[in-house]
Amino acid sequence: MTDTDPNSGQAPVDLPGPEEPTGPQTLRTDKDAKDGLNKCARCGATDISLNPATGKLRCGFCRFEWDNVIMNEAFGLDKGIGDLRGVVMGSGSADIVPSTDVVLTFKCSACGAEVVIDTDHSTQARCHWCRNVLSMNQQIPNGAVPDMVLPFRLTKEDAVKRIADFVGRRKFYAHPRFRAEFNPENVMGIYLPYMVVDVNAHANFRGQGEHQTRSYTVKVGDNQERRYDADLYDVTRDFDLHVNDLTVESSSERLSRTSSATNNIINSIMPFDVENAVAYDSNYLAGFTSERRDTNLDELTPMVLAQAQDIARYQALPSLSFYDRGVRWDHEQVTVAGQRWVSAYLPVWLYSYHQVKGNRSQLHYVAVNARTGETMGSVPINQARLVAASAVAQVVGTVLAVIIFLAGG
Amino acid sequence: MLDIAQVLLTTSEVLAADGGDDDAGGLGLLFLLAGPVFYGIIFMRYRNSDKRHKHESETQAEVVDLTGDDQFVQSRKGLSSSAMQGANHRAVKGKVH
Repeated sequence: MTDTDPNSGQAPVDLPGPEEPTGPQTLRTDKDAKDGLNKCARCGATDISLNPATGKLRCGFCRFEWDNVIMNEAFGLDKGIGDLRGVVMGSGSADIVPSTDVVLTFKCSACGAEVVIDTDHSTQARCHWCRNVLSMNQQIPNGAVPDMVLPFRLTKEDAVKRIADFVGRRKFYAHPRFRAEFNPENVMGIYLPYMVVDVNAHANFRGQGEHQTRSYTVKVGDNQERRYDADLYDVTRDFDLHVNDLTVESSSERLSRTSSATNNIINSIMPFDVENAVAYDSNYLAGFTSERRDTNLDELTPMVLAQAQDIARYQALPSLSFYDRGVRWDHEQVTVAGQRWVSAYLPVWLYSYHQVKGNRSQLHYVAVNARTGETMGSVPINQARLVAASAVAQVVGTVLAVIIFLAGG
Repeated sequence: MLDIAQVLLTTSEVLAADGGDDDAGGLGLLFLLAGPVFYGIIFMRYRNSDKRHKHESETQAEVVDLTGDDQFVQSRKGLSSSAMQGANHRAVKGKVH
């Protein structure tokens, strides 16, 4: 249990007390998973992919379609947050062992050839000899196979249209080279790695709040100035907080605040409807690429707890409506009793543009949430045109300001 | 040029709606800053460098057994600010970007 000075900028790190489980409890999420040939139950083909129209897996030969189990239903991930104690984690969220291979070799059980899967970008590969598809579904400690996956719902055509519309509304001040090279058809479907976290916490806030009682103007010199009267109260709020599906990125590259990539764009298209995520199956990745998780629970915990504290602060707001001038919390205490971590691949349509400026470069993204369609992007700017237009605005503004000041005497 | 006119018109409307006797001075000051204001608005519209996932309000959460104890302390008169000094009830500290 930790008290935090709200002005210190430091996140509270509340570790489970001694009466709670000493180590993480693991939910085994790849119990029935198997590596190698994953065959259609009806015809035995291995050419299986997602049908975005139905959200189901479809056999490329006999068109048979089937669903994977929804993780919330199979593991009760949306239930019992108030009963969580200690750390519960999916087996696909286990710590990454640095010595674990990233490029793995599988023996094709159809023809005996050796097939290589580069888990940095996929968990599937096609055998060059017999054309069967080999899948990796069992979890090994390299972060490549998560606990669950949320299938793409938006088609590529839909994503292309959304990206073209987004950029189309931002053409006038766009960099001329970007305008010439922009081709939304180059959008890529990527499963990005995230951690989905449930938190059972207790929040206690103490501070002071002000309620406005009167607003009026007073004469100060030649000017009228506004003044306010207010009542000051000591305020406390105490409650249990159940946070459901707090979602954080788990790729160190996406978490990076570097100026060389507009990572905030990808961050901004959250949230996803993770309650519809299904048990992991590599066939959902067919036709898409993936990015491997490369961070561990310990590295993400301070950020998750800081975000849980933010959520607690915002959940207290409806009870503070009387304090229309605001509340200053002097003491914030958020004690975490239990956490549940599940790793997931979530679907993003991503358009990237690499802008080179002298010896510096920047990666601009236009990203589409492949479930909700939320679109956000960064468009490189034609600085010369924007500065010229701003100068014109300045001239016009200065003339108007002079007129206003002269008219005002 | 259409954008410039729109920005100046919009901001002047915002200031006019604010009321008060200092409108003319405030409007004049805003027009004096028209260049930087225009640059900032267009930059943000194209680059969206301020955008992020608002985890604090976009995450599902449930409050259980809420209790509170509020005690009157004193009345304050003649305050010049419209908001409480040091208010941090909407602070966000867990930003990733």
